[in-house]
Amino acid sequence: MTSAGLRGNLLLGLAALAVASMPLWASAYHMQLASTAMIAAMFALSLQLLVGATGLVSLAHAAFFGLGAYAVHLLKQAMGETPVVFLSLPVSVLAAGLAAALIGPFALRTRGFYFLMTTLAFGQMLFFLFHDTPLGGGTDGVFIQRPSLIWAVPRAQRPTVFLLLNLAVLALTYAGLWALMRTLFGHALLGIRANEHRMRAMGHNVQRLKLLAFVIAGALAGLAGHMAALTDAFVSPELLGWHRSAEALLMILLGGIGALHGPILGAFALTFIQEIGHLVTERQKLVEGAVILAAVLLLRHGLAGIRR
Amino acid sequence: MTASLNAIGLTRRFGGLLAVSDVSLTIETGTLHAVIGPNGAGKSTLINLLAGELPPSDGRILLGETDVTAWPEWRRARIGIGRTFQRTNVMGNMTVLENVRLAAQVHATRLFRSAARDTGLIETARSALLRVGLDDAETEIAATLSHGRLRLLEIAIALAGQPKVLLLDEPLAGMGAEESAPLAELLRTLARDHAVLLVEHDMDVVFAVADLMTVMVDGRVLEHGTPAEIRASAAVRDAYLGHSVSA
Amino acid sequence: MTGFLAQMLNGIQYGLLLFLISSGLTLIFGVMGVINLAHGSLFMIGAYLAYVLTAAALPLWAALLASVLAGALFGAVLERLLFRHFRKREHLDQVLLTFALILLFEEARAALIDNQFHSVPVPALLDFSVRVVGDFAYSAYRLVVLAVCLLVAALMVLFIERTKIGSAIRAAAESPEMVDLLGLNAAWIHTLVFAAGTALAMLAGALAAPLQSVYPGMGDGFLILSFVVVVIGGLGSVGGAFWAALLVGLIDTLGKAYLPQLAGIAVCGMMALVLLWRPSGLFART
Repeated sequence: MTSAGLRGNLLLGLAALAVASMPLWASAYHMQLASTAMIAAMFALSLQLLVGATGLVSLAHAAFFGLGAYAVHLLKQAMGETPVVFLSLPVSVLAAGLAAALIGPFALRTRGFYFLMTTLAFGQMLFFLFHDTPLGGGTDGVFIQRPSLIWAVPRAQRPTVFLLLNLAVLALTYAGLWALMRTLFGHALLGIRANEHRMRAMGHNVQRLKLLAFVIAGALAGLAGHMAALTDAFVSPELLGWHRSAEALLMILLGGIGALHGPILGAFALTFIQEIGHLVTERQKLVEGAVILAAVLLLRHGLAGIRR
Repeated sequence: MTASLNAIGLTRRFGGLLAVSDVSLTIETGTLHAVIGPNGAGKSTLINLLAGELPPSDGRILLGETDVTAWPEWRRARIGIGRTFQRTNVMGNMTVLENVRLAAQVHATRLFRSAARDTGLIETARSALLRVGLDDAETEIAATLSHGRLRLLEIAIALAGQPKVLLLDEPLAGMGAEESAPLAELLRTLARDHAVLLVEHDMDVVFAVADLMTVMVDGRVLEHGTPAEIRASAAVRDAYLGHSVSA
Repeated sequence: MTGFLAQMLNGIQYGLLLFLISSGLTLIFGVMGVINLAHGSLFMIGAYLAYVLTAAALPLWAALLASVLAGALFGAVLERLLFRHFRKREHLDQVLLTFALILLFEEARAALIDNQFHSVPVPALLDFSVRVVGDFAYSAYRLVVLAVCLLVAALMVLFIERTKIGSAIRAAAESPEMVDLLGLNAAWIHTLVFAAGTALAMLAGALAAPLQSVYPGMGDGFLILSFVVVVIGGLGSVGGAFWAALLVGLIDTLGKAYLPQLAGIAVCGMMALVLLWRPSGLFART
């Protein structure tokens, strides 16, 4: 996996500036849409640590995202009052990371198809936990109270505030992963993706490295989930379902599996395509299905690879 | 005390087949111990057992005083059992230096340190490349190397892990005469500061570089001895050398 | 007591349906190396086919026959057009291809039929209860489903164990290069396996239609459970899938009856235990 160089990061910075300037020229609706895309980008970025960096295709990832979102709701219920964001955010990250740390050791005993199937089953187990039991407030989801920010945000300012917050968190997530891929740990993950067998023969504890990646990715998915709960003030079991994981995989494929910044491109591209599709037809899934087919049949290196 | 690798009664069954049967041998630092035998004699399986890629069905493996029989492969590599593969097995999409550095970083204590800033690792990697003569190829993508240089990269990767014991699985396989002469010389120098186990088909090289030899046939040890003793052994000549010479 | 007996029989019958679905899944994995997430949607299509045909006053047995024939044809077309070209592709591509198929199948169903819940009546001929032992009576249709599933399983085992093509499939499921060695056309075997897997999934859907409601996402639960079956049974093993399907069917049914909130979790918990104990499946030959 390649990380964007200086020029690539400058371009990403310019795009971030464009998003940051949206309050000056865009409607509230479009700012909300941008927030949705950025949350999707955080989620897909966290999955890229597994897929692009380590070579692990996990279908459990949405469960950690959903867990991060539900943590906001459960925390409020446990406390009896609305938590501040400085409490709810770390709780979401920890809850998702902990779930990944519990599931990882089992799922990572397997490889290839088995890994796909076991992550699917474990992810759905968490889905059922919220779908079938009264724990999370029921099958259809619940409206939740947003964690409180430092100051009270008037309704009219919400799109602007959440846009900027999501942009900041996305930028931090990206910067964090960019730095992580430059550490010895990041190099080791790339080594596992390239040749797991040789890594083991060299003396790397591949299992431990994979588990670390799984937990970090899960915790970051929890962060994205927290931002989704904060932005939408709504959580539902669907957030945990494997279809969401598949959608994030689509963003990775669309953006380019070989590039760290690919998922950001993919998330924006998919949000854009879905929005256009929404205007043209009622059949949302038809559009998405056609996009995926086109992507797997035609786009081997994603949007990030088009320049090459 | 010199480190040595001890195999005691090592046995491996695949279903009903005995791939390695009751093999005992000792490899000492400073010696090059060659294992020869016809195809299917169990030489590669022996290396896989010693390196920990396969668990033995029976027997024990000691590194010095430490019983490593139940240890996983990665743990054995960490305490000093390095290996190369019969079929080149590297990170093809990475540069030569990156390949070797990955091997060197096994001993790094701080996992979340910037790789570029860890100059100690890069030095270890470079000295391994220098030792095999690949110091001019640092930035080349591994998959683009010639076959002979890939075989050298195999050895450099093993060296970068700073092993005490080197298990070399046919390092000369597929090499031309021009390339094998310097490699034979390298094998000699490696044996000065390592315990080397060499599995190799090129008999000229084996007899030239080995201090001790073990001949395996059908998973069993047929004969142990110095090259001169092996050359003189009637049993070896009947079972193996005779055929290969006449062939 | 009779309640428990009924649940046991329900569990076995549910497990046998699961076997019809997962045996195809496991063979497709084993022989072709392709992961098919759309396998649950094929089950859904089979159920809707049964609904449409019985609503058009055709008898259920005709719908069952139609689901098998249509499934075989549909599977063969899918294999030739798409899956064949994804055998050597990365898992990510296979996951996304089959995810796309799920979305497209759902849309096709919505466009051609609708998005509603439906019920398919049990055939009048079988709409009665049979006394099994003492006071314990059990639905005749469910007994027939049980019998049909067992018959199909027996035919499948016979085919795989006793015919030349069957032994080629078994060999291919263990090591794909074997097919060529046996002198049979590998491409043809792939089509056959995929067509058979599709036909079995659609047959299961048609059989299940009178037992539950027919609705858009009905394949999802079966897909997840089938994956659990394949993991527990061992990749590519039909015999393993049979026992694993019965186990999962029983645990899921008894769980739903006695611990309704924990049924989904119980099955996955069992899978976790199996993975700890034997990562390549409970019934895998190692």
